[in-house]
Amino acid sequence: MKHSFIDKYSYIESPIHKLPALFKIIFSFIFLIYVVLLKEAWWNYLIIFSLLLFFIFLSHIPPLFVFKRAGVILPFVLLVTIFLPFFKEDGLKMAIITFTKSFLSIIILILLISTTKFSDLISGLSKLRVPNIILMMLSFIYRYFFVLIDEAERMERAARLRSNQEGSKLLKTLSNIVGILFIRSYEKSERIYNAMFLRGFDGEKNECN
Amino acid sequence: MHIPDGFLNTETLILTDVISFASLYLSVKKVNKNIKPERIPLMGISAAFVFVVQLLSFPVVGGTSVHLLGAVLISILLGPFSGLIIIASSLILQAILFQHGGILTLGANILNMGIIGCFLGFLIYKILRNTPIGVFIACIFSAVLAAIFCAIELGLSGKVPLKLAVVSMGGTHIIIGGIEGIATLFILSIIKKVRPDLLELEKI
Repeated sequence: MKHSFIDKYSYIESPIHKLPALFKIIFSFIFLIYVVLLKEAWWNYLIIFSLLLFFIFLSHIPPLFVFKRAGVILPFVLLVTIFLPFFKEDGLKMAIITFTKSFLSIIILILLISTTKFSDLISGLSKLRVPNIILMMLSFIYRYFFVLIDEAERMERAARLRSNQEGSKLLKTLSNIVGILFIRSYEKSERIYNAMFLRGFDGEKNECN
Repeated sequence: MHIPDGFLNTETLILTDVISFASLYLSVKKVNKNIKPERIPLMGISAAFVFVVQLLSFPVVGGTSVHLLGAVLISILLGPFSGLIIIASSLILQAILFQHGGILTLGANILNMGIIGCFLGFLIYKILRNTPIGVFIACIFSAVLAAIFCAIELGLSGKVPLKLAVVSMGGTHIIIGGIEGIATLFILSIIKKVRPDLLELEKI
């Protein structure tokens, strides 16, 4: 199963896509640690950035896609660092460093998720001894959150069509939607368990792709 | 507030990662001990449910909106240890798929949004004897404390002025926590009306 708009480039072919997931996970992690803890010098950032550009080129992912996605950190970075120059002497420099570090780490993550299928990522993590139950949770979220979002949106649209509510009434309506969503989720989990049980699920295996 | 990578210094990173991943490990141990197989799909779907709840925006006065954390809600429904696993998984996936929050800062984010909400929130709810006012106070308390922790972590890393950040973040989150509290009460009351048996699920 694939959700094309969150990791839409993970199914294309390139030398980087062919690498084993475990290797990519470990490499990204080491790279991340290096970026966050590296010596704060502009040449260091330049080397990392050109390395990342090289990987993006190798993986056939459109660079614009990566940079657009990396833009999600901008609001948080601005919100936090906007005060830095006012209370510290080298505040401006620190703001730029913080921004660069976040930007580089996010590009590493986007590269990882865009070059690795979700199922490969999960099996890579299981080789790293991540507990089975956490991996099951991740797979379940990935598989079902679109189903639940659709359901929540349908209920919200229905509520809006019936009346135009404001303020505290809207809060109650939205809360009711969430409550019903939980009940429907529970009923869905019963049906899913029955289907999994018939296929031999005993609480241990998580291979289901 | 999801803290991205690059914002926290090494000491804060190590401290928060150790606290969070140790708690997560203990929760996994606790939940894995005599778990029934049908609970795994239930927790999985609940994790997807929390993920969706965190995406819905609730209106506040003046056209602004907030989203719920769902930590207190899910702990009341399924128990604090299951709650922490669910919230942590949701945060991990948000970091991997949407880059909301970093990987090395996962510890800090799980501490702020998971451990405080699930453990402390649930504890307050239990101390106040499962009453509606207990739910409300648990929500406010966990939202304010989460914001204060976030401010302290950023402050210790020298990214924001500590006192100012603690006061302003904590202050605004009284309102956010209040809205989460009212919404959580409404959510629990409709579940009680439609399927009261779901409030009696096994709480681990």
